[in-house]
Amino acid sequence: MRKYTLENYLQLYFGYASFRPGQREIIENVLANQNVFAVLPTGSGKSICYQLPAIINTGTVIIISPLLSLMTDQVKQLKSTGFKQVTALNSMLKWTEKEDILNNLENYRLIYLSPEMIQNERVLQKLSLLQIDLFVIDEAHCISQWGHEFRPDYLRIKQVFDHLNKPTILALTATATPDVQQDILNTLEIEDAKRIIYPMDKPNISFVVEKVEQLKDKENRVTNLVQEYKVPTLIYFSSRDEATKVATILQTKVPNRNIAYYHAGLDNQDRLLIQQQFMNNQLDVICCTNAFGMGINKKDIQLIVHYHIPTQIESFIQEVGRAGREGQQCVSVALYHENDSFLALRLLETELPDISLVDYFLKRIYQSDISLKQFKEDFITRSGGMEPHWRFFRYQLERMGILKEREIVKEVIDYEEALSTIGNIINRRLTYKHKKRLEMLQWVHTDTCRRTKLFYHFQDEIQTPTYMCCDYCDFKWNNWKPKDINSIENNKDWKSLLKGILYQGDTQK
Amino acid sequence: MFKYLILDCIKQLNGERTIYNVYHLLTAKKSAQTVQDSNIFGLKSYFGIYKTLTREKFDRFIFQLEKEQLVEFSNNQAMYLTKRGSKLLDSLHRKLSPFLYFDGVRFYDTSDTFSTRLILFIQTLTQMHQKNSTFIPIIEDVYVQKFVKKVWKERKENSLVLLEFIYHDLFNVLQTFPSVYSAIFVEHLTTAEKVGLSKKQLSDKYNLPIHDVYLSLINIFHYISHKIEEGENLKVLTNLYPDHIGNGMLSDSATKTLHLLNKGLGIDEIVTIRNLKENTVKDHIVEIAYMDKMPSWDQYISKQQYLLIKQVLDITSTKRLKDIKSQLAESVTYFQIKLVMALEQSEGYKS
Repeated sequence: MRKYTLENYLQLYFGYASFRPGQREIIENVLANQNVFAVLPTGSGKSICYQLPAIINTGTVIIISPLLSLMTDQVKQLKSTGFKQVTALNSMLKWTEKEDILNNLENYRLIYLSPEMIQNERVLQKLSLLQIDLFVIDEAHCISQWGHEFRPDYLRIKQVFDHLNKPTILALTATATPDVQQDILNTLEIEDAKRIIYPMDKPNISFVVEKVEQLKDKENRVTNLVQEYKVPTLIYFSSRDEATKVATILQTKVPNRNIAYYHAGLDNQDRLLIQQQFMNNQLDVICCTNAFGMGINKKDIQLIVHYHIPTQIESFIQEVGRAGREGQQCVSVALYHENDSFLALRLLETELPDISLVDYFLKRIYQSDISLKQFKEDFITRSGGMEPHWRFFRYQLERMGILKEREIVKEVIDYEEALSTIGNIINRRLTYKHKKRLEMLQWVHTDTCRRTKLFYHFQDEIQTPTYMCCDYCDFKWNNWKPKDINSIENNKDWKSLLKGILYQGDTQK
Repeated sequence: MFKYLILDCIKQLNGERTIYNVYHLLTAKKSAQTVQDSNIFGLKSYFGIYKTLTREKFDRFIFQLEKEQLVEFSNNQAMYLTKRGSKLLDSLHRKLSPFLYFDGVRFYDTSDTFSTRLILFIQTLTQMHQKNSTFIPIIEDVYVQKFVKKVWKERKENSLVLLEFIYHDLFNVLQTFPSVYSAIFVEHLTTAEKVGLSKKQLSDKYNLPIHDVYLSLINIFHYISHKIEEGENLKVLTNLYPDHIGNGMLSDSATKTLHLLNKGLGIDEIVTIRNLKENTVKDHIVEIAYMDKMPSWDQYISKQQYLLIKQVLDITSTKRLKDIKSQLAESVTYFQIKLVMALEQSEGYKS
């Protein structure tokens, strides 16, 4: 018998007095060893659903997550609450760090794993020695071929799960259409799972699309927004260069606000600094790519601008979901220029390897005795550093049986058939991605309620908006008057600054 | 600062190495060869001081230098300073050298650890002072985190005393530098009140190239390291300073070779056991020679050979191995020449 109520634990470890919708139901079910499949919107506190059971249970909780930054953020956050038996195994670790963790695996109660890690025999063997109470699949939509972010490595989760004596499963996602939901349940063979589906629409966000005539108009409009609305703001871009460029322009044009950019091209230390500055209200506006936001728990973001629209509605919903964590009024503005649809098209075509590259490597496989190790690096280089292209290719080789336990087996299928099989898959995926892109575009051009149109793929009912709905229904900029939140400014010389940050007051000796 | 460094390297290499040796030197890549080069050309102070420099950024910078006509390629791909480049180097030297404290070889194994420990310690101290034990550490390295925690527990003083100590430590150190560099250092620190500025933000705010922001931070950390190793009385910073790892800047692979040599194995045996090329193992031995790690050298070179090679080295100005070899007997090998160059820098001949 537990001495404390679930609320006691929640208060003690997370500082919340009560659960958000969905959390209690999920936690109670998994604690009763019932498999659960849950759809909870971004920012609704998904992580508590497995972190709390890990704290309460005696055994280990395993979480498979594809998002490295999310993993490390959560580990840091948990440790900072005083729960130290948590770790993450991923490719970012140094060899010695990984060894340390693996040799002490039984000391951790919460273990985050990247999908690549569970392919490692040694990791699997170590895991099988643990008493695993709960097996969590975060971002579960990645397991579906029809999901918007299909990751081949995710299909291996099923084998791992079988290998670990089938612990209770909790599959979580923030965005999945009903088709994708069914696909996830089938793939994991957990049709008996309790389904807990919460609506994804947040009633406190208003949706606005603004079409511009000239590309330059976007710059002006975004400058104007940043000047006018002094609230924590995220501006999303589809490329690193554009994010950098516009951030620089904004810094000059709006000198009274603190603006920075953030993308995967920054080094680790700088990324961490920018993120923490934003959390600490030293920055007002971040120009970013989709690399920003995972695991960001800033509660007062009130304006989300899409300088470019994403390639699919699911990403858009996730990015918009970072605003208004406490139910306060917030606005999403998407700026659209007709060239944007081509931009999205180009972007989308770089998401899969080119068929000529696939052909080149298939020929090398069939014409020589090349090993996997030998062409991995080369493949990644030739695809322009796109590691996901390599993972896609490797997975296709495995699926056809050409790659078996890291050995090449050519006899199973001939070269022509292998090429046409992969070619077909690439085409099917591209067709699918085009469909998703068109959905996004249709939303931009819609002439009905934007809220209804955005969510109708995902749910039958739309919640009544708390504030204004959208630019089709009732949105007026004049009616949005958020309270100013300004960042802290510092222009002291180094001597006074050093004195200040080390609390030396005026006691100079 | 970066410009000065690059121009200085190009000048010292004097067209006898490619421009990529400068890159390898700053990033401490391709260890064995780079270690030898940095010794030969008197560039030990720059060894590994910019480990995060990417090849792409380096190329872009060199391209820019060429465009500004500060450097030029000769037809054999070697790079030289132009007249303009030499002039700029001289004026930069006058301006910068009074407060440059880079000592790359000496602090190769301590610099990164020390700087991350210091940054995390200051964050921890200010947070604990505010009675806030739950914060997100700005340094992710778990070993650094463990170390800082240990120091925090061991120091018995209360946070007010420690803050005052560290303030005076830093104040004294930073006074040595022009105020822009001190400001960059202070603004990069993360405390309970404010998260430190990133290199890009510092570069914008102080209107300096981002390379210089990075290097000016390293420069200050090296200065503090000097002070600590010379025994200056710094009340807190000394506590955070790491021990040198046994083999200094010896590469991992050379360390393994050294281990086998110490067991009494010969070059041939090591080649077989480690499945390496003979030349690789010999390069390891040269690397070891720079580090002063062997009891005797007579199995690789006789006293007489040593003196002959030394004689040639003393009278020729070039550092090109081929030119040196041509002035010696056929039987003398490249390996032996490299070995003499190394031993002349470190311990001299021991038999």
